[in-house]
Amino acid sequence: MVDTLYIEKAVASHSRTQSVIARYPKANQILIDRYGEVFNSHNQNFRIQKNNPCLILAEKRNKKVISTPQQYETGGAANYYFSHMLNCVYDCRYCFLQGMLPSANYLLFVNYEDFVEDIKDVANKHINDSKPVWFFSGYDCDSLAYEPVTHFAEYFIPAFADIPNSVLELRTKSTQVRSLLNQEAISNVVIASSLSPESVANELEIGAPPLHKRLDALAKLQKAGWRIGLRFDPVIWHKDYQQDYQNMIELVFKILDADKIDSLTLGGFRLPRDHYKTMAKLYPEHWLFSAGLTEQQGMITYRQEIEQKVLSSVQQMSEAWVPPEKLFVYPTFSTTVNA
Amino acid sequence: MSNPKIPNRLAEKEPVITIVAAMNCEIKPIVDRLRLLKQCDKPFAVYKGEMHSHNIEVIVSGIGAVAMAASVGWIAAQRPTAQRVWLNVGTAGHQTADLGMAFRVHASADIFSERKHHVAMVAKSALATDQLLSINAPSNDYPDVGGIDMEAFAYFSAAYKFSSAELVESIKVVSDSPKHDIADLNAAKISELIVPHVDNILSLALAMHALLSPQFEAANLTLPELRATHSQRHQLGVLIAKLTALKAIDDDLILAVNKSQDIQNLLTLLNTRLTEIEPCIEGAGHG
Repeated sequence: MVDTLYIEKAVASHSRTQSVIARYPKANQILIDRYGEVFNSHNQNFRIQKNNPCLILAEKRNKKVISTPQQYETGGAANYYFSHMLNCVYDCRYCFLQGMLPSANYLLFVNYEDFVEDIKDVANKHINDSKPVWFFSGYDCDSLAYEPVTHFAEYFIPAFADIPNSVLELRTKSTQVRSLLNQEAISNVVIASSLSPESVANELEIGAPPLHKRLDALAKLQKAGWRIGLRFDPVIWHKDYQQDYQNMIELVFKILDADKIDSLTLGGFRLPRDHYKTMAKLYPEHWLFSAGLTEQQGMITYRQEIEQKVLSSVQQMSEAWVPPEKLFVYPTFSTTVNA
Repeated sequence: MSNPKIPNRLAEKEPVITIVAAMNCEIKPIVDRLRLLKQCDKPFAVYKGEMHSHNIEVIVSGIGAVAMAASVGWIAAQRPTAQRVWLNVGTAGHQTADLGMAFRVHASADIFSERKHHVAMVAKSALATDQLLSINAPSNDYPDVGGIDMEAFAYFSAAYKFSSAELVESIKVVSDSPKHDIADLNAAKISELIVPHVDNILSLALAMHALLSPQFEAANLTLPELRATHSQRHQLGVLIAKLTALKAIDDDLILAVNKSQDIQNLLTLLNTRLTEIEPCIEGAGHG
């Protein structure tokens, strides 16, 4: 439930804005000139705002499609990401958005048409590449968690059917897959699900569906012919991590067909230093921001020996199911592991 | 509401609800309802007490932006380490709203600087919302959107220095309009206008208070008296806080700390302890 809708005047009559307003008929509507007036105002507290975020409906005016960091790839040659929304309905304690964004309010850019135009322009630049150009969604929000309100997948997935040299990767923890199951699977769309052991999810992924429900949703999607990616990222170091990850991986491949998995990625807990400092101030009592960490070239990450141990261990467990060409590991320390 | 009770000495860090009003008559219905007791007259009238076991204080700033900003700064300085939620209660003019209608301020603008604060309304409230324009003198000109007052913008600007935006709010009751001349107002009438809204005012104050998280306190170790630089003391504080978060401060560590001969050894000891800790997720045991 959203109590307050901030609406940019420029998109007040947009059909998608009207659709969201209809979804929240009792919400207080406040017209604004630009979303930054609310979203970027000073002195906001992300932790407090998470109690009752507002929804801001706005137009994305500047660059909509951005190159990913160099290391980030799961099969494409050129890699980009785009964000139709900032912030997430979940409250994962490790999420960098808490440290990066000034506000926990949901910011939804309703001009999907402009995103798709920019995506087509970028895809055209790579028309002669040997591999498809990869577009990631779910970097600054969960791609599917707010689907009943945003209809994001409902709009973007058919659009990608018309961009054959591209792949759309939807990163999510959500089980909101009804709109996907209601349509034919599209070959250039990957549903990439972030998974953690039940204990980690219970403790750190507040508000997200439990592991078994995510797996149920993935099983349905896989059965319906959708390409499935698995993301064990961040791998969280803790006393029982080996047993917890082993149990999770066994459960995952008991439910999903390992041969049909599109890709599996692993990454350690890592944050830019400034994001870490903000997050640790928000949650000073949380062990996550004190355990096993060090600073490496502006990043706060697990100490090298911990990261190496944890990623190698989970990599080995994963290799029992997934071939090396489908397994991607993102270590902070370049010597940690090579997938 | 709870019985009147004045704590002899409020704990310095205990959270407090601070209600700020420009005039005594605006706040009188709340003081009466909670049976708050006057603590001082100068430089500002202050009343204190409890509401549902929470500390509450009311300050009367006087009329105008300067008085409002000064009162906010002054009362914040009385207990600088306390977590504080702020609620401004007062009257406002309005072109279209009915006399006596209360609204929660969702945006506060200043007529001169043309700056505007969008209020971060996180706490739940049943009140309608509106925007408010702060001007510098009583006026019979009413803008076509929202209310007018003389203090709210200064109140928000000042209170934001001491608490995050979600903990600063304002409720206004319409006291004058084109149909109801401001010249007809007096103290008794203003109090009468506020009375029907006291429940909503206190309810919002409590909802804001509920947003506060318990303040994290690092373990209070009795440290040996060691010579240390400012930087070393800072490192020491950070290490103790991290070890507290990891629940790693036990009797053995305290004993070792007490035996430390110099600050560098102490820092090394705590750093070593920190690297030894494997976090344990509750409920993650595997027999």
